[in-house]
Amino acid sequence: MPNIKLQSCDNEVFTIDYEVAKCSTTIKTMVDDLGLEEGDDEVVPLPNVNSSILRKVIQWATYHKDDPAVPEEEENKEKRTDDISSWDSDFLKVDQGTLFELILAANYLDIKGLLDVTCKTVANMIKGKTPEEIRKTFNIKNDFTPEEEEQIRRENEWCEDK
Amino acid sequence: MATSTIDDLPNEILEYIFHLLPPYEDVRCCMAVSKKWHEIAKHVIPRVKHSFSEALGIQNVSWEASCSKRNSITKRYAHSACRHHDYMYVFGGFTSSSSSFNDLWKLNLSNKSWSRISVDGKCPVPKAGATMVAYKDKLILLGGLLPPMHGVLHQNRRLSNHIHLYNISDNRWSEVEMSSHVRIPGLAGHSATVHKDKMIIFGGLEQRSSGNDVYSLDLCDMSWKEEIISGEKPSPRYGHSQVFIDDNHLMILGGVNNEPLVVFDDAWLLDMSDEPWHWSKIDLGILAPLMKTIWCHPVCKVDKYILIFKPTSGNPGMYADWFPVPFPRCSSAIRTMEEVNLNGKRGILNRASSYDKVLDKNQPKKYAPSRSKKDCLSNSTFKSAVIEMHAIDTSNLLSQGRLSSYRNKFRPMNCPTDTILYSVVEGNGELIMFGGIQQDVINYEDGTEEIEIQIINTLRVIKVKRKIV
Repeated sequence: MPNIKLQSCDNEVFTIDYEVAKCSTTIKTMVDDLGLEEGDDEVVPLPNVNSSILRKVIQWATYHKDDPAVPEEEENKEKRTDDISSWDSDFLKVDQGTLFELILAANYLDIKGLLDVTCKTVANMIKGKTPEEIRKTFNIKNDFTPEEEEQIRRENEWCEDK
Repeated sequence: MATSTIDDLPNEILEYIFHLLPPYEDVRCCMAVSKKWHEIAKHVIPRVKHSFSEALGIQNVSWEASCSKRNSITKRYAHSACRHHDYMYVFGGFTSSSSSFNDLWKLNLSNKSWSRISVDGKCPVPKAGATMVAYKDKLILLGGLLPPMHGVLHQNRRLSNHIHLYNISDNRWSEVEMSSHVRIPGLAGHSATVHKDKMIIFGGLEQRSSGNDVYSLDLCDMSWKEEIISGEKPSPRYGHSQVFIDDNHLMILGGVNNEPLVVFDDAWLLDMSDEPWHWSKIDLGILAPLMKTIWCHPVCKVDKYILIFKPTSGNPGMYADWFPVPFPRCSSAIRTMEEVNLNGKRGILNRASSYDKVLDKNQPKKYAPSRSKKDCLSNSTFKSAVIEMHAIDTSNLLSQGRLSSYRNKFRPMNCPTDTILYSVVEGNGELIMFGGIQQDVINYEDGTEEIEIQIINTLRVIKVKRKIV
């Protein structure tokens, strides 16, 4: 099995199995474009990911490397948010900062499975909450004026009635 | 390095997250969080609805069924259902044991959970085949067929002409006293839609026959008016579907009349823009074959499409016993289906072909049902029919008086077994079909099969197959 070296933005180098790394479409494309082959000592720089997040991403990718490819039929199915595996939900028991950085990393590295499961986790944090509870959960500032807030409240009451 | 917050996520990702939420209250809550969230979330529900409408047009949808969970609604058919805000409300209907309900349930569309509402006020009597429509914060329940009284032979049909209002915010039923001098007859299997501040009703089973009158109920002062119609009218019928086209137009499709049994495959447009109102028969063209078996299969309109649920095979007459006259003629509501035998007493019944032949000759066709269970079983050579959904485009209905349809090559996935007298309502980006009577074919080892009738409480959700993000 050929290995590949990945360098995080804080200059830590990770040597991992290419089979694990290629779940990232971004890395796969880079490797293809650079024409890297076994034995090359080339390091793939990942300037948008720090070492602690990259370590998590590699951990996730290693666990999921043998996952069967999602059949197209399934992929096209409507997304559910209640189907997160127990390993993934344990893996994602992290602070919010880490969760959002994982989303950004999954987006940058183009790892669909990781992006899906992290976004579902955020969706589950939103579900069933009032706007005020959502603001509290994510520390979001309410930038509506009282008038705007009242208008939105009224819109939401009536717009869906028909 | 500062920790990332949800504000660091690109808008596309935030939008993707919002699309993962049920397109109801949760998305609307997101709209009320902040200006940025409002900008992103406000597009979610319209987009979900738009993709659903597009998917319906090209039949790119799939069916998903969920059977009764715990605390779920009782099995029923010929119930009344409508949507209000984030809920689908279900009232009454026939039970599997020759009686009917007067309970009120609501289904939370976000998570598809049922809850029974315990209502204050003067409840309607148990009945089936009533209409229920939403108007402002009320549900309006009209008419319906009452179950027969026990132990009384040769009863007349017991039909209701009562209006009950369910006030959602007060959680209270109230019966409406008729203030006008116009009294409508007792009705069941009629149809109703709301146009501006009026509820328009058409047809329905009456005491002795079926009707083809149009009445309007003024929802402001609760007065009835019998509308004067000029020109040709649709024949008297019940069990048809009525569809809201716009404030001044409605459409009816299909239906049936009994004594003698006539199954309709026509569609009519009612123009209410000028007095007197008038009906015009819609030229169905190539869509005509779709209409033949849709009696007892309520339709639903989503955006510009009317969704028709058509059994792949089947004989419209075979449902004749089920609604609304299974009582008091039948000893029990659960029994083996009695087939209308079209090929003579000992003939082999090949439903699709024989039925087409009969119907094609001259429409509408009268049936003389034979009622022997033994005949039915010895003649069973068919398989369970399934429901096919067809989307009929109404965009050219008012301008050109015609309907069109996409002719799909493949059938939508997971089509359910043919079911009748279910209810179907539109959610956000989904259709929700509930309950009804299902006909299953049981295959025995010795090659024989039996048809079993089941009253169900299955919830079927029709959604976009391909997620368009």
